Amino acid sequence: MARVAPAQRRRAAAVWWLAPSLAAAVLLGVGVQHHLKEQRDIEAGMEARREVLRALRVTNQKFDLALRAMHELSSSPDPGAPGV
Amino acid sequence: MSTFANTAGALWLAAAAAGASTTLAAGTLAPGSGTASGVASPVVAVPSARLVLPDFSALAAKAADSVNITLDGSLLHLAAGFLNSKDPEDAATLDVIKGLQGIYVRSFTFDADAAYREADIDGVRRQLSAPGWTRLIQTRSRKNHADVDIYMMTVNGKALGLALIASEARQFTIVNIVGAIDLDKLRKLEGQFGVPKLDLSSQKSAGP
Repeated sequence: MARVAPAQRRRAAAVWWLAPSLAAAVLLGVGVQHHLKEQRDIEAGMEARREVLRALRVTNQKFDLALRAMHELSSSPDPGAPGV
Repeated sequence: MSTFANTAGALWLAAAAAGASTTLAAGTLAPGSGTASGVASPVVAVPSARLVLPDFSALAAKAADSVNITLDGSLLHLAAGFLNSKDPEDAATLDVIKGLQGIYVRSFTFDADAAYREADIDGVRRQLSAPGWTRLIQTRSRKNHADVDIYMMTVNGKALGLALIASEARQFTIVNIVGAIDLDKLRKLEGQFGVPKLDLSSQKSAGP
């Protein structure tokens, strides 16, 4: 009987520490996951932003090319001259 | 600058006017409609401004530089969250992408002339002959060896999308913007992104 009591006490102590340890581990895991997701979202958002700026830059360059060609035509001294 | 603005404004108005005539063409009768009342009610099918872009992987393999951008509505929304409205460039960009449902860009630059065939783009050009699309600008520049075609899809005077095909000696570019694109706002991005501003009015007045 005297042998059983310390063993039971040890088990009770282990359970006592196990519960908060598991809870802390779960919380830490959730926190890390959340942080990693946040980092991924930020990277995806920044990448999307770069792509938008790049797409609009390309569009504007080509739009500019067309308008320059139109301007060359309108400012040409000979309207019948080839060029545009 | 004002001439430039007027040009863009006039194009915008031309597109709006063209839109009115394309609405009827886009109108269809819904299957089975009118069977109950005996009167067919016209249902306007709103065409999509989204083009089916071919798989250019063979060209991409040959190209010295290629740009392949696919931004759907959710990515545009995501990008908008990372644009700072207090920054002038970002604010202008936000203003342009507001109301857009997609931006699709394919651009290939080659080391040699004639590295691509017009047939590579024909599939896209065919889609632009569909009702709703109106060609706003067609330029053929021998000086720069550049052909640019800009199309706009309008319905009831409302812009639904834009398509741009630029063929140069060593580069070709296709841009498809889906949504209410405002050319005037896009023009305001000039000077930003490294695109020089066109001061056409001063150039004109400086001439003979």
